Amino acid sequence: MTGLRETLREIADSGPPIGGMAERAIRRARRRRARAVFAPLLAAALVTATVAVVTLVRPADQEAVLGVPDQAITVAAEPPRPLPGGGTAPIVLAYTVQCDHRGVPGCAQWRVRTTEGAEFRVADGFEPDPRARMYAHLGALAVSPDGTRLAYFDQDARLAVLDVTTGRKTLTAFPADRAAIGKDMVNITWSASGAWLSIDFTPVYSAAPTPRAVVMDLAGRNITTLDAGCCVLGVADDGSYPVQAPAPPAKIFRPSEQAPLRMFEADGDSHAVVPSGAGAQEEGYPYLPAYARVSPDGTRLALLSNRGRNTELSLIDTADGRVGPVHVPTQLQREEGPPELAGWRDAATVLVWKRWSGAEVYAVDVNTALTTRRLTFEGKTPFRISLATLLI
Amino acid sequence: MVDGYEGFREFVLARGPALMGTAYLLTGERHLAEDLLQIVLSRLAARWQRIERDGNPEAYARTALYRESVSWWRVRRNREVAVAEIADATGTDDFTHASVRRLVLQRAMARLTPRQRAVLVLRFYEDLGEAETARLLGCSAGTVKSQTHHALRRLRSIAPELAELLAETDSARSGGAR
Repeated sequence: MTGLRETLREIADSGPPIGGMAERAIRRARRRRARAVFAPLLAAALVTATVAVVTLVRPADQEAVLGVPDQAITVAAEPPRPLPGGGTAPIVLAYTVQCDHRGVPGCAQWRVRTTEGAEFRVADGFEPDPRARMYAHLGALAVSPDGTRLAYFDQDARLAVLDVTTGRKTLTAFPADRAAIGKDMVNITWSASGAWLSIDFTPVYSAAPTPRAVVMDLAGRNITTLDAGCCVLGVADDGSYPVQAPAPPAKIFRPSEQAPLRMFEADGDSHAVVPSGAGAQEEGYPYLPAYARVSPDGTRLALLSNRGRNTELSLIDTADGRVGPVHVPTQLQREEGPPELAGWRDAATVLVWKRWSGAEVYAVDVNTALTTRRLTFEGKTPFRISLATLLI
Repeated sequence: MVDGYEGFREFVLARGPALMGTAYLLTGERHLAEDLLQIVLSRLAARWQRIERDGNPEAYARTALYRESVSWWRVRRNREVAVAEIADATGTDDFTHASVRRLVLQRAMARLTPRQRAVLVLRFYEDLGEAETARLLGCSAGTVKSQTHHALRRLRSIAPELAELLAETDSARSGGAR
């Protein structure tokens, strides 16, 4: 018999990763110290400015309740300054917004936020034409899980990987296609380890031909070009990836025409087929990276789908297509806008976000269904986001 | 980066996973474990220079972790937003299977009070005696003894299949007043 202590140790070992906790604790300590230094001055000010006191104290109360003080993110109307060339702190998230004034340079470019709260725009990133339809969904950028790298298409439509801590930009071997990138939605996803990238060209808005999707490792040893532009639903740490194959017809928002999913090994061999309709997918969203994403170990696919007016999160076993526990987090119902997947944070947690007059990011424990709000966007509404999943 | 927190970063790098494991045992939920440990680490960082001078940051962290977990209900009540029905992930009745045993124990512990969980973790995971457990939790040895008794009785009542696993605790308790 395995002893109680051994069983407790096994439970402890299955706990979540430590992630960026040290840096968050240091930031909180610095804020606390700053508050302590200015407390006497504030006290004097509070006597004469009661209204201002209420305004200042309310955020502190929210911190105590939520336990995570750096949750709220205010999205400014004006684009921030360009990312400095000499390097920054790691990036915790990236997003796009719609331009208030379309003539403002950089308004349609991706914005990034560092772990220290500074905001920049990726000035050498591809900038969609703000006159284009759904331009805030065009272009593509993905933050690596640890926040140290950005993968994006630059102004010449070349796929680049930027180490934000050093400012060093590396161009990948992926061929450029400026027209395709400026015309339809492109999805870049990182593997959890940060060793692999998948680039998916989903024909959502246009029926024009797209470039073919690619799965590649950053060391440049493995580059697999798929037969069609979509739909690669992320890439696992071992380089395996799920693909909807054969690819659906252009303009993919036709769930009834879905083909089955196939799991491919890193070398391109197919080894499993997930039947079409698994996870009630026939009622809901198409197989897009925004709604379906493979787990870090490649064994499960997290899938958002519709059932009536409700959004459901299902887990599908990628080996046999079996649908796992289905959770219905009430915070994620779709009457305010369809939620999207932001990726897996770890083997047991999926990050889901929804936007509607602002946006919110939730962490869903796939074992217990406990859903916790992690981030809130205030001000302008972000249209696409990418998260450093290990830092959320 | 020289900012006075180098030692803190090293400490979290070295001991963070172990502290997270303990936090996970104390809360039973991944998000709550993260939030509990985040609160404790924030306090640690705020007092880091003094704690580093004292030379035993882990003792400080562990004490804070256990004491915070006992009052965790205040935070927990406000943190959880939505819980759907938990599906049965075991798929088997074979209690000898390690993952099933782990899951049953985890679910049973989730139904204990925070103080009962803390006592069990200290006594049977950290392998501390009653006196040391009482010192860490800031209560009397008698309280530890009674909480241990009630916690084990409740575990046996919630999950009778744990009886064999818990049998060894009887001998540990009889010699536990270290």
